[in-house]
Amino acid sequence: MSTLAIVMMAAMLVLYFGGFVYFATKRPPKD
Amino acid sequence: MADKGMQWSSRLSFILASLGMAFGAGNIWRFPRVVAANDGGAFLIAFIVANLIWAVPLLMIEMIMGKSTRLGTNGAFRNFVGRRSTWMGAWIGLCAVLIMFYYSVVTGWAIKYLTLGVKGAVKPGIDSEAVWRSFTSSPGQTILFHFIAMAVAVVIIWAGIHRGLELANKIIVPSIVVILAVVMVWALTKPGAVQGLEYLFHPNLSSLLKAKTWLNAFSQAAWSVGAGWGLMLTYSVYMSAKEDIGANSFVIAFADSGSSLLAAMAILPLVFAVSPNPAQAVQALQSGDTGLTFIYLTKFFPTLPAGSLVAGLFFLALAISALASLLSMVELAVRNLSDAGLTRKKAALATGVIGFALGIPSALSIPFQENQDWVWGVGLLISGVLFAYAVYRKGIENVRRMINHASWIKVGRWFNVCVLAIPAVFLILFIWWVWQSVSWYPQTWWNPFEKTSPATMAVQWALLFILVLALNRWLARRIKAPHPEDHGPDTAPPVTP
Repeated sequence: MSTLAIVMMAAMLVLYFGGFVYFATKRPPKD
Repeated sequence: MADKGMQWSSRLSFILASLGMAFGAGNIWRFPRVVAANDGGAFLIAFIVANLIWAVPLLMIEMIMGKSTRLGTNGAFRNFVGRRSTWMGAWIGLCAVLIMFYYSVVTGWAIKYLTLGVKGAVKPGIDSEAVWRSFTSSPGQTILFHFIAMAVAVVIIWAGIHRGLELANKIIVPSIVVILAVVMVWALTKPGAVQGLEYLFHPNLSSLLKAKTWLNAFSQAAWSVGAGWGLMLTYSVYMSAKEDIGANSFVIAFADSGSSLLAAMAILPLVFAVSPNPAQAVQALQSGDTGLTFIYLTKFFPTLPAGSLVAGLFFLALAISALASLLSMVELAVRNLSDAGLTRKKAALATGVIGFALGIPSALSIPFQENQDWVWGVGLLISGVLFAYAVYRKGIENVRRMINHASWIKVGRWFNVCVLAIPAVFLILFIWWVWQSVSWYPQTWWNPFEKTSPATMAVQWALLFILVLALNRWLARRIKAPHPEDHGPDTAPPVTP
């Protein structure tokens, strides 16, 4: 597997799953 | 209107049910093929952008309509937009129900192959083409498995929100993720599998300049997340009053995309691992959804160590992901019938009986099933435009404020831009698909009896339009819950200035 493909895989995993984790951990704002 | 006791018991339950709705057979058998055909890495970027422009705003619109009206598609359009627009909710609902008729058949195929896996029939030397031909040409078999799929879905919906939908999705969704992860790890240990990952992630970013990459990305985003189908609206009827809309829309879009990526990371290495050579792997990826799954993978699974066992797991993931999506379609029908005064159990039974009966033509004929998939799959794009229209009528800025009032994150003015872009995206996608269809049938594209022609789409859409327009007033009257104008104040939450 080429280095570029590995970099792309890492970037996509961070983008897809990072986006999920970021929004999933949002909590209601404190009044 | 949904009873006060009918609510998701937690945010996790709502998200899992929504993910079960969004993650269907298409994520397992279509996404990996589309991403492979569109230069992998570039497509993955286009796909997430398409999700943010098309899917996320539509999820937000569906959620605010379902949560604020507490009614299914018909009632939501009547109360959110106005009595004259009830037909739009009926179009959206019927479009999803027409998909339910043949989707139950497809779920049945997956269940059939699961039984083959469990019985150990997926073994070395299997003539997978003969097995598929024998199954699909046996009406008793296809109808039986269509019946099983519809019966299981109805029993779960019958059991209610907590003991039915919620419990089923709490089991199904984590199971899909675990199974796909197991299949991925298993495949990656096999010689040649890494070439599948290379094929998936090769970063040919110049493809981002190709229109085809974006057209495929938007098409996949429109069908994959289930935004604009009315299914999210239905599940949002059961949201608790304090539940968020903004963050949850992003969570569902990212979770569906992430699961699709996981599926691609399992399927592509699998295809390369089981193929005698890379050229055959590429050829298999071009053999269509059912060709890849039921013929190619079934043939080559058992050639690898523990392949028969993994085949069983793979078909289990396919069957339960299709079932979870089928559940949301049945629930959409049940919600609308309940709004019209039927008890939940009667509504579930009626949906099951009608769904089984009207799914039989698709069970008997694959060309008919493909015709319906074409007509109502593209029809869903119209549903998306109707949701955008609902927002125009209510006022885009007004709706954005309503969403922000019910969100844990601030939804910026990008929402307004995306909503304005939805008809343009629809028009471009629609013209592209029609143009493709004409190129498939250069001589007979005008023939409504041609399987996937523009004419068959136009005729069937026209019939549905005439039906829902003719029934508009009757549908608006049938909904038992009061219209906001009957009691003065809007049912929508207050809009903060």
